[in-house]
Amino acid sequence: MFNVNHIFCGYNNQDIIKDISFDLEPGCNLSIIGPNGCGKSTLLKALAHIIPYKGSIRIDNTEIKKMNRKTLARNIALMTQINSIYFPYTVYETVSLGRYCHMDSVLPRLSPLDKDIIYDSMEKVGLLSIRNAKINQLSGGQLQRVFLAKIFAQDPKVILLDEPTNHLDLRYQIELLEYINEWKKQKKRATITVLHDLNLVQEYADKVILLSNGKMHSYGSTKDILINDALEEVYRIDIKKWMTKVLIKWEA
Amino acid sequence: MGSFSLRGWNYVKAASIFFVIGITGVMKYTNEMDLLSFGEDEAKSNGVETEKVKKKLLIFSSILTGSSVALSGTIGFVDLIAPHVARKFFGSKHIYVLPISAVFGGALMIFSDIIARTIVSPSELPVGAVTSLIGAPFFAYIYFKKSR
Repeated sequence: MFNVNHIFCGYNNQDIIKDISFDLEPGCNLSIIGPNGCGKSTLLKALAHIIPYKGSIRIDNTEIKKMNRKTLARNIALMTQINSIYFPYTVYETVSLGRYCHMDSVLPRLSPLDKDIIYDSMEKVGLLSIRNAKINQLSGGQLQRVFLAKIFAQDPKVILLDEPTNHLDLRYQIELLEYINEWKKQKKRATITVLHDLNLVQEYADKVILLSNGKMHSYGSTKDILINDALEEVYRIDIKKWMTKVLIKWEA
Repeated sequence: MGSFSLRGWNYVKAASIFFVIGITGVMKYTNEMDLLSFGEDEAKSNGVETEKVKKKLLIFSSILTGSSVALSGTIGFVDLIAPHVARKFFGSKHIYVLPISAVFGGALMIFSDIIARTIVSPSELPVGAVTSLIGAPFFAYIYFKKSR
């Protein structure tokens, strides 16, 4: 369904991502892990065609470069890290923006079906009761749920999430990933998530890409990537020793 | 400083052509403006052709600004006060903010012009002086309210 072949991308004519290839099937959770600055967010931006790329990215055998923005948005959605809210939209207004790519270009208005989908998306992440609240008055966890509901309303075939659990406490991290998992199972859609927490990767990812200096160090099932020596090589720490030390402290 | 003195209905007729073209143009892109307010990457990911939309918005807003300044000269603060008040009372969606800002901005100009024409009668103040008198304390209030 989603095929990435030998892509190169970066900024100012300098490639940060070099020769990445992978395939993704519907219903699959792929996690991208790697040290800071290895190009994880850059790769996500290329996969959403936010930045130009060389190589081939195809969804259902169509090259995404050839799609117009609205068609692309109906296929791929990127949840970026939004740091500043300039205008206080309500939760409903923000989620409804997710339907933009499904609206008619001549008369862009929300249809009754659009409204049902918006309400359904808010319900999925538990936002219905605060649908009229201003988003600048929400907590970090609630705000992440708003942007997730907006992505659900967009209803793409592939969701790209750039560190969605950042700045969230443990409960919200698990809750957010549960919402994504539930949606993915229900709709048979694929997700690609950049995560730093290897425990969350182990719990939620089906496949993992380990990036190192913009290149694919390893790619495979979560179990294969997380238990071999690749992590130690890329992160340059003895992960097994560190985790064992933490577990011993935990047990004590 | 800008003023409406010696401006008759002919000026209004001439400016209204540009007003209709400009306002129709920008009103076509209210959803895109909502999405762009979350950042360019976010707007692209939601399906907005950001480069095209920005160019068109620049053209239409230049038509509106250019015709207004040609009619009256530079009158400060109205462009800042009107959308701020519109957002406060009618929310942030640009489909409401733009027309309400136009109506409120126009009403504010009439109010300011009445003051400019009567306060030192029979002489007349430039209307820009009155809007500055209203605008400066308004922004000081917003600034200090936000810093608190």
